[in-house]
Amino acid sequence: MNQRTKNKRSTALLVAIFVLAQGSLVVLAQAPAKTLHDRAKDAGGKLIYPYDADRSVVYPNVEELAKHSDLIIIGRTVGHRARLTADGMVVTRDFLVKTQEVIKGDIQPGLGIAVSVPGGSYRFPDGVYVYVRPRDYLDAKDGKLYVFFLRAKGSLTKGHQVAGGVQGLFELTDGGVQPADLVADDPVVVKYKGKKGADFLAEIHRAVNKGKKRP
Amino acid sequence: MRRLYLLMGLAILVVWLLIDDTSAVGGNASPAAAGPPSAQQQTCCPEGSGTSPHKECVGGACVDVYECGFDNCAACQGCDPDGTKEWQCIQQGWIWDPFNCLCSPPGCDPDGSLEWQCVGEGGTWDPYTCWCTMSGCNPGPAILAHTTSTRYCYETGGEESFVMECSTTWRNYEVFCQDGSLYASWTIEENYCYWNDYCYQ
Repeated sequence: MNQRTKNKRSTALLVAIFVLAQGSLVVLAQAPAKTLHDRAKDAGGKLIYPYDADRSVVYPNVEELAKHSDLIIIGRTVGHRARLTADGMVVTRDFLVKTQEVIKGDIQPGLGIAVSVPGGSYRFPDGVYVYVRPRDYLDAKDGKLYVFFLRAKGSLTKGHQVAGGVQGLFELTDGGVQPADLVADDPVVVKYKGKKGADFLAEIHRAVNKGKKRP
Repeated sequence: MRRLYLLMGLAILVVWLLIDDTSAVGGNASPAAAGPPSAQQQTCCPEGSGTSPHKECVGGACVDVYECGFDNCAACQGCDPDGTKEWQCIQQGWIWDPFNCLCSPPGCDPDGSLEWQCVGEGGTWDPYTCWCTMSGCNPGPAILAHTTSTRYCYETGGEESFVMECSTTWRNYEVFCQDGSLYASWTIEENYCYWNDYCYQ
């Protein structure tokens, strides 16, 4: 590789990092320029905000989800509190998740971690209410068992964010896997909805192992 | 609009890189610099020596090895290849160690309820000892401070769209410290929807 190509690649890498950094800032974005508080005030003090999950990136399978996740855990949601994001644009349900297995990432199994999922209600000090209503995905519920593909904590939310909008959130039930995503033709819904829990977990492990590089 | 510019910029960048890569392969670049071995190289393996790349178990992971050889990831399958033991362990609420296939009891706070209660009351939780250290606040019980509700209509969308009428009730809870300062507040919403074609009227 000649020097020119090296320089060009370095420049390209920097530009790509910049573009990706911009992309990460639009996680939880789709919100208009006004804050939720202003919008709720404009709406007479009560705002129902139908919210679509972020679909700026759609992953085709758990292998890609795993590659783009900093943390993959299996855990049960213990409880949640709704919070306003730091920019005042979205409300998130911040779940305390009791981890039962860490498939990827550097945390101790058995510990509780915080996971933020867009949605929920918030009352501002002046009495204005807002409800961010998930439109194309299922609300996470307390006391349920989930597989979480997570990103590192950002500055906007208290907890880790789900990778791929809500693509990285799967409930494990006796009847099979239930993706949080409700978009019927989303690849992860097509592939994994209804799949047996054990088969799904085995597939995730294969995907994570496949992603490991040769030392 | 900002996203559109970013995407356009990225697309131009990709085209630029592709042009450059093509010239590099055709120029002085060595085959090694041209990226991973292609399917062409699979034919380079002497007869009976397998393919390149082939799959091998390296460091516990089944990975592509760019040498001639036969696929063999048997050693990688681990002690729970079909996930059955893991699933049973997780379902019963225990902790699974996928590297050693060990299922361990969940410790002193199996369902996390003690931790949830501790954090909710303003304490600091130690998961190793299950000790809850209280701050100076000494918070009281949660009090229902406000209740308000609203109604709205929406269409379900899709091929057969329905008009739904919904009502949402917000219940706002507050917790005060012993000195009267507000320690925490949160809102719980309750939604009730039913099918009503005349909702907008």
